[in-house]
Amino acid sequence: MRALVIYSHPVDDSFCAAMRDAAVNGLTSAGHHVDVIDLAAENFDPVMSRDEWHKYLESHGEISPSLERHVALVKAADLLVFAYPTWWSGLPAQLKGWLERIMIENVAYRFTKTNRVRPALTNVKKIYILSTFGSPHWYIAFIHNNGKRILSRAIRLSTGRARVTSHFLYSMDTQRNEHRVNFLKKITDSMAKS
Amino acid sequence: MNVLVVYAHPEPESTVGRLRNAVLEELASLNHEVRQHDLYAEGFNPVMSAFERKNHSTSLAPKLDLIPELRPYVENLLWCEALVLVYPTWWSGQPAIMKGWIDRVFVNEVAWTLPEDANRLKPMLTHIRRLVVVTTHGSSKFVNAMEGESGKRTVFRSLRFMMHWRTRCTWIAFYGLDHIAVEKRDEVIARARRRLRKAL
Repeated sequence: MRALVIYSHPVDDSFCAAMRDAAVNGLTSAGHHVDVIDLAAENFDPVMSRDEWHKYLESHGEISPSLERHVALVKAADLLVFAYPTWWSGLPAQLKGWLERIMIENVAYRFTKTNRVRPALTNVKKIYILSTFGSPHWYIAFIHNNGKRILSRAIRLSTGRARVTSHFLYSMDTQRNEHRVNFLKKITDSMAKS
Repeated sequence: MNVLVVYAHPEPESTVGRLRNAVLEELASLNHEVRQHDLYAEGFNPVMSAFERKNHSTSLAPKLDLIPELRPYVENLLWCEALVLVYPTWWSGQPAIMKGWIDRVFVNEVAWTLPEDANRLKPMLTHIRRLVVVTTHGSSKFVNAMEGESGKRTVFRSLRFMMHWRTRCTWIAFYGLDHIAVEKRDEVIARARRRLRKAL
């Protein structure tokens, strides 16, 4: 199967990068073909421009040439893996903008003849959500895990019925090192079983 | 009251653009002191740099000297007593350009501090007493409820807890706009005006 890892963190040697590598190791050992999109390294522009917005409304899924590679990877993927830090309970802007620009008509959803929305990402069987939080779990439970919600509800609805698995590390800054190492191992093991 | 309007939409002629104009008109007629950030027009860059991430919790002043583009955003956030966000809801949240404004501007010594002896953030936006969101959804209220309204929770929980504990929140949201013809959206604008007058 083909796995697509979408990684969003500005710092190369961050813990999120270790999370991404743990995921890639697990996926490779399970025999999957793995592609990685590193949004910060690619300097991905997350802002939907005025032209693109009009195209989005009027052209029914015409894809800008600069986005074709990402769209092809998404359409070919059986597994989607998101690795990102949670900021203000949500996705980093760069990842949020990636969803806005890539997940458009005929990629994420399509319209039937009677103008009803139907999922178009039916190639995706599983979604993995890997994230870190500065806050403790109780606080995130209270303000809601809004980044996860976007992926496990809105994006998942576009896949039809993909299974969602999440691995979250809370209170990042005060975790003991062995917890972090165990967390990475858990990710690798979980991916190896995918 | 000092009101900061933060607006994000690529097309000024859109329904969200019209809502922004209505918001500014209402605020002017109520004699509020108003400042605005039009994130698209200002070309705001929403991507947090590696430098900013690494200096996430260092003190503010030297950071602003190195990243002067953030200074007006920080100053206006510290100046306002009411914050009005105007944006379209995309994938159940704020557009990337506005999420990036949150990521980059709500930093140490602006939105929060972490005192030496404490293990919990101290809110710093306690001068903000009114928090208003004006937003549009293409899909219905039902679909958005199912998807969990992430954007609403980001503002009214995550950001709101950095503000005064009695901050009054007002959600002026329109659903199912995909099914309302563009010519028939005057009622939407009128409703937003009525709600906003009561909110401040």
